[in-house]
Amino acid sequence: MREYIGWLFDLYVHPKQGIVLWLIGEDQKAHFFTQPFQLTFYASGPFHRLRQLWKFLMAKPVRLNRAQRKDLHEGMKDVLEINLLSLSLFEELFKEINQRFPDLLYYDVELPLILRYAAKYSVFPLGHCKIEVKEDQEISEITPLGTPWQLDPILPNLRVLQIRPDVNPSHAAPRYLSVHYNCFEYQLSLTDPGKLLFSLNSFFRQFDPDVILTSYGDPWLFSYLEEVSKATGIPFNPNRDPARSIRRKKEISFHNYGQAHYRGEQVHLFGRWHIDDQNCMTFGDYGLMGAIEQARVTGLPVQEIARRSPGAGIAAMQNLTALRCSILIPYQQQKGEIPKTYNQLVASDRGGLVFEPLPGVFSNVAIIDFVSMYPSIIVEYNISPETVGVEEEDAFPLPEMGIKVSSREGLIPAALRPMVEKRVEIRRLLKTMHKDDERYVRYHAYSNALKWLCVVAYGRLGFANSTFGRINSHEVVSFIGRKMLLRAKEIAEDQGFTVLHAYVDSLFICKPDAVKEDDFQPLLAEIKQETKLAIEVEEVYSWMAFVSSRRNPRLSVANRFFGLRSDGDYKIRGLALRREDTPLFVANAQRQILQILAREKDPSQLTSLLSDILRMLQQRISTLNNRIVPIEELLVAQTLSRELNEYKVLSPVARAADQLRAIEKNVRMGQRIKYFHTRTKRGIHAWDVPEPFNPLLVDTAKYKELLFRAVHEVLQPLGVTENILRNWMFSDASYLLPPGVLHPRLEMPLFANLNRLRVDIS
Amino acid sequence: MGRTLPSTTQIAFDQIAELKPFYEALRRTDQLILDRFFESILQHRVAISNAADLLPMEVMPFVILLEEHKRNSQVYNELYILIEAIENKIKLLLPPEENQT
Amino acid sequence: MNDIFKLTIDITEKRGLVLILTQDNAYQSKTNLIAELILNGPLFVLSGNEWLPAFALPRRIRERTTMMKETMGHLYTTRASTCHRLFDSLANIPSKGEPILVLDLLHTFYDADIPLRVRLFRLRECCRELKRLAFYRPVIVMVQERETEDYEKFIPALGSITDKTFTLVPEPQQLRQPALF
Repeated sequence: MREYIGWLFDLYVHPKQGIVLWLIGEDQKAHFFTQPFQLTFYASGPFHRLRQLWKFLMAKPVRLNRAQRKDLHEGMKDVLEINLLSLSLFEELFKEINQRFPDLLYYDVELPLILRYAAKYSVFPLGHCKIEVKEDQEISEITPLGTPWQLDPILPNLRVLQIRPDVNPSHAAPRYLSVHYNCFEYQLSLTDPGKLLFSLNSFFRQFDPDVILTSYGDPWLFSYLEEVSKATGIPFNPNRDPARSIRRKKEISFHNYGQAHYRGEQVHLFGRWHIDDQNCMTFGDYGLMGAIEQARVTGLPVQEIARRSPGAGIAAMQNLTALRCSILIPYQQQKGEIPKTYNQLVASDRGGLVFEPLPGVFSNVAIIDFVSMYPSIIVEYNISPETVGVEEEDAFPLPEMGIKVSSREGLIPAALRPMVEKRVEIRRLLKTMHKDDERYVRYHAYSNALKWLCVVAYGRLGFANSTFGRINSHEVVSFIGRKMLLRAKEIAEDQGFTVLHAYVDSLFICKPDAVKEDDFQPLLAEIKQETKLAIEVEEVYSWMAFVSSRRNPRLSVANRFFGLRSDGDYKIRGLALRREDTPLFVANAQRQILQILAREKDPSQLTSLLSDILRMLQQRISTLNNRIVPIEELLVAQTLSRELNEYKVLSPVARAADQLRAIEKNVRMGQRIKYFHTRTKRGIHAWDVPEPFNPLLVDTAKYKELLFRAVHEVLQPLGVTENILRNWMFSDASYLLPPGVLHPRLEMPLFANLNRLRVDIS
Repeated sequence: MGRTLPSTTQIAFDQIAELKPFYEALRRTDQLILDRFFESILQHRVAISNAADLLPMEVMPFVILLEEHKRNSQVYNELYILIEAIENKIKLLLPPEENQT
Repeated sequence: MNDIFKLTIDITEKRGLVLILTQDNAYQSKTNLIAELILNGPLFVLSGNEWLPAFALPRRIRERTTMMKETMGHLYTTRASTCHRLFDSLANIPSKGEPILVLDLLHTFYDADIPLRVRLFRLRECCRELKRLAFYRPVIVMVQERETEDYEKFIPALGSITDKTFTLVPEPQQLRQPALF
């Protein structure tokens, strides 16, 4: 018997029996093991049908048992337990069973192998563990040496090989690959495919990377290398397991939270990870460190979790908790809504509370927010599909909703509790930590990774396709959230604060003598005591501007503001520079305006900076008129919200997609399409069309209008009207006095072209 | 906003749209006043949404009255300030013996 | 529509299953139907597409009675976001009780992410539950007609358990006085 200590790196089905497990040892080497492992699933239903199933399965390579297991809603029930040692046979076998016995109920069917393994042995991806093996590298025992909830786990130093083409292959044919490993950098030309493969193979041998991080590896790189391998006869296998070939997952388009998404074809490796940073949903927010953290807490492999939505991670956590608690995970069964009266429907069918902001600029504004509000409510108030709507005597009543909540810990709170506690603790530490602290970058990545999981945990309760979701539990969480925010608002107002804005889990408040974080602590203490939820000051902003509606400046808009931090940086929501469809030229202009405004901490003096802003804008407009703006800065990127043939009227992005389809490019719902606005009949030119583009055709008038709107967005809270700004920007007008000083009827630009000037009378 | 009932913003817009025949029959100056009422409604969506009453239309007049009261109070305050300023100026202009009487 | 009201009111005094086919989403007709039914007594509405009438319903009730809150209290609702949830909701309704109205029953069965075989099986199970309920109480099922392959496969299952079928013609546009000046 030998013993190895290391980190669980990869796990998959062995072609014959059991599983294959890769461990990154403390010797920094990758070790390959096998282990017998049985897959268990369950069936329930009328006794005579179970008996028929039993007889049918007697001829199959399974072991059968009668058992009792817990159903989340129905309690203990009799089930037929079906155990399979040859895991590769499972899919076919279950398909056959389901077709022959569609009337039976099945459980623990659609589960990733690693979750089953994690539930049995309490290990998890990149978890530190000890393995005892027999002579033939077969695992006899595996023991976890850590938990996913450690704040500072010891992790292996992974060897990361980065491979990137010089251009996006859907835009133009790449000419070389950049290969990066530690301090080594290479450029491999694509003109000599044989040499390319030879070099790549030698890198794999020499560096033996654990992770291959690519750009466009999923849709292009590996397919290209496979074609080259076929053409040259030089073998190429990026897997560490030489007996395996690449595993591919098909591309998909789907809707999520009202938005269209596209995930390209995926390439997964065995014994090694491949991550394509261009084909991941939220990877860009937290990088490899965050993906590893998500894998550790959810139980999903890194290659999966890096690409999938956080919702898949939450579902995995719920399933893992269910497996560990021996709760049956239903297959193709879901609970319906608990009926409600119409009055109860009106009271419950609502989302988060949003207070319209007061328009204008305010000084010393603090944002106080509940930490992970909805997950904290789920944990603190024990909200789970099976705890809501019970009739227990000691259940917590919610009379407005006509519902009670059980005091016995539910599945979802049990699954979320350790993650919520970890996130709260990391946030607390980050607030006190200096940015130079060597833990800062790591903790920041962990915090962002966990934030995404926390954000979707609530949505998952009400998600139609969620196994453990039920709309009633989702509504209870929003109901409690609204109550808590209203209570916090009352307490703040009782303590003399003005509530400027409120958005679901945050309050924007100010008080003349409250200028630093300590001044808000008594308020936070009282809110925490009343609501039982953690709340903290996110920041006190020197000033904060709330942007009004473009159509009507007297109407404010929720969640559209910019606030100046004490370090000179901004918190920005809803502005053009944060929107994905804003060209860089416009975003940079808005950014520059904010940089100028950041010079002034006193909001009443902001208008004195208008002349500097105007000078900057004139320069920008001049570069546009003279057509010296780099063409990439004029790109508009938009997501295709439906399949192309579903468009009744072609919007600009649809026209760009149509142009790409005409040259036989793959165009799917959810894909981001880049294009320019042009003075042509089509009105746009798609970026990925290979024919060269004439910059003289750029529609400068359109870009000026986009610039104008973005500029007005940030200057409007200072009192600058559209008419005045238009004259300043495009009619060579100067200004008499900053806006807000004169009566609106007297505000008129000096040297304005009076033939074209229109004065509003309101 | 939930998944079944419309958002308060939508309800507000629907109610405003239902008043269209009434609105069209008003003079322009009266229509502009009604526009201000509609703005008040849109500024207090959260309060309308939070009202337990089944009919938002029953809550909306309170919102309009609230904003009108605020506007009136502001006018009264400005008037009082102006009156006070004028009185002070008059006092300064009058001869001292008249001021004392 | 008034004929349908009269007929459905007759039906709600007897047990059995009535199928009403609509040619569009018929939201106004559904609102009016629910209003008529709850004025007569309790009603359980199961929405197959998560739609339920919003504030138009209490306003309709207000036109007919001053006891609005009491009348609205006659209405019990549940919504289904998937065919599995629809089935569970039906299976959990007790056999005896108030009339049942199912809106847009087939909506969740058009989800192509679920294999057709599974959807057909689920639909048959739902029909079994509807038949059970219709034995003891009046059940009205509304379905929007579609010109799709799936609809053609689904509708026979419903047809086999239906006692009566009506087709709702879209309500004609209200005549408006044209401008004279």
